[in-house]
Amino acid sequence: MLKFILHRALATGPVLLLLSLIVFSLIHLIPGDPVQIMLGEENDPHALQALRRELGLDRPLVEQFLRWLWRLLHGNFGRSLRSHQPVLEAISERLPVTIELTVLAMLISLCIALPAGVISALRRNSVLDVLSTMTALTGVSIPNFFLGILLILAFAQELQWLPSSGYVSPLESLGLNLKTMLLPAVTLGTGLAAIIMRMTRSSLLEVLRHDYVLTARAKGLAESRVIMRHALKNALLPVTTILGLQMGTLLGGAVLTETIFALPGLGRLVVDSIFARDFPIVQGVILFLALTRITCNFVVDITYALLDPRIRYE
Amino acid sequence: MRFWTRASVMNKTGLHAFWRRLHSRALSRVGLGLVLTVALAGGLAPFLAPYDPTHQEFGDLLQGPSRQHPLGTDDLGRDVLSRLMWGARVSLQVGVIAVGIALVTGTILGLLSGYIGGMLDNWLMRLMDALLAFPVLVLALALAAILSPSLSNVMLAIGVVGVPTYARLVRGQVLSVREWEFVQAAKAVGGTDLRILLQHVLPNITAPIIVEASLHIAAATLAEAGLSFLGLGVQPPTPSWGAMLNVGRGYLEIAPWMAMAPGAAIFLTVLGFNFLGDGVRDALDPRLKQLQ
Repeated sequence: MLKFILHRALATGPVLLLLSLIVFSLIHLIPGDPVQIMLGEENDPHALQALRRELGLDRPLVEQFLRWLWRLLHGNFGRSLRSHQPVLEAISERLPVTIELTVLAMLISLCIALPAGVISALRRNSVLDVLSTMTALTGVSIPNFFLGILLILAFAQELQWLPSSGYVSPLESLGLNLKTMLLPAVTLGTGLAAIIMRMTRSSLLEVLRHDYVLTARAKGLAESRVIMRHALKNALLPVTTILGLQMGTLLGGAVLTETIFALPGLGRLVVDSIFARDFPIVQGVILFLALTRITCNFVVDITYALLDPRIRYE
Repeated sequence: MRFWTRASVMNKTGLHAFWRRLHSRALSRVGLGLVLTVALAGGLAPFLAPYDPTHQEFGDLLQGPSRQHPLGTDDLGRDVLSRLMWGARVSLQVGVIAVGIALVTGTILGLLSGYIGGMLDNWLMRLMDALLAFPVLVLALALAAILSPSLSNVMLAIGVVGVPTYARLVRGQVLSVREWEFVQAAKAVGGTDLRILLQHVLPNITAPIIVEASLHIAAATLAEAGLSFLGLGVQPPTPSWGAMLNVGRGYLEIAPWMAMAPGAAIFLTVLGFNFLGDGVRDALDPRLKQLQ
């Protein structure tokens, strides 16, 4: 197992190098002088030169990249152009909101999708199956920014059950926090629920055709035991993978969800920074999100290898 | 002698069978109907749209649906239906061109990577892995913002972030097809690499590429709407569904039609492409249907 983990970790090295090169290149894709664009109307040559020096843009490109990489390795993601706050500090301030949002979205989607997927597979081609499939296709197709608006209209404006925007820290009031996070989490989790539901259904259908399920039934086991102990356990393997892989999609979707519900998370930070031309923050958040996704994929690979020993020997 | 005809989906019999299978599914027909409706609305917008989409009528601000304005007017007195029809052009244009950019670039990279192999394959695939690590919307957002928001840059940004999917898909297919006997035979009779790639390998890997593209259009349309919703896509006064939805969000209480109309249009278009994409996948690979 250790060999497998080492092999996977080594394979990730070149990816991380290329990933940092892409993020580094972003600032050089800006047409014209990036410093002038970041400072907008500012025409003072000293200010321009100072920022150019601060960002290291006055040095040769290779040196710029190596210095930038060296700083990253020491946990220095640079400073915000607006607030001069260290990028990593700005990220860590906003991260808890985004983590809470994505975890709640994931929990909500699992609570809806797993039972729906299992029922759909067990009652294949029934009215329930058709209904869940149609709901899943609708869930995949509805843009989360439209769903968010519909939910605000129904639950915040018409029924006035939940707030339409704002954020309360769970440390201040857990009840209020959950009230403010419910609509955003449902908005973000709906697409994932649809994907998990479809995956659970097709995976369970596939597993139910295997001989060991037939054997379990032939032994006279109760159907519920056959499904829960034998079939579902194996059918959930691909679902685990999907969950890990969808983490990146969730983080991307959080950008729109946080904008609609005015949540102070990483998504809002990146959008606000783009409009403010605060590119060190944009670079930092993008790099952070990509690293998070790579870590998630790594963890999924290891989990998968732990759950299914065949993978380790491939 | 053409070695590849047995697996190609592009010959006449193959196309006929494909169309028959696609047409036999109710959801595919619904999807096709939705996509055709949007395409017709967009294509015929210059002739069918009742008003100029950018014409502002300050006496008709925030009017509800009526005979003159079936979907009402917006905060600047512009006809929502006309803007919706013109917005369909933008959505479809971005969807098709962005997918085209991703498909062509990704296919070329995948063909080279899978066929040549070695260091090129190794580094190209690591680069694709690195690109895949970014959340699609966030990378598209950054690219569109850095290149300055405009229709062409939105198409480019969405296209670029889609490249790795095709490159990986095509590479995987090439690795399998290049070992087939007819490819080995073509090499043995002295076929050049370019000829083998274009005449023997490419036609045999079109099915999965078509399936991916048909599903990708839905994602690209959604990404354009998302970027425009955030103000980093198509810029005003060009009508875009995402931007219309964003403006409508501020008038939910007094003029809900402003948000509902573009929101429903995005939803139905994406639903249509998803239904159609699912249908295309099942029609090209009927084995998959058994698992559905």
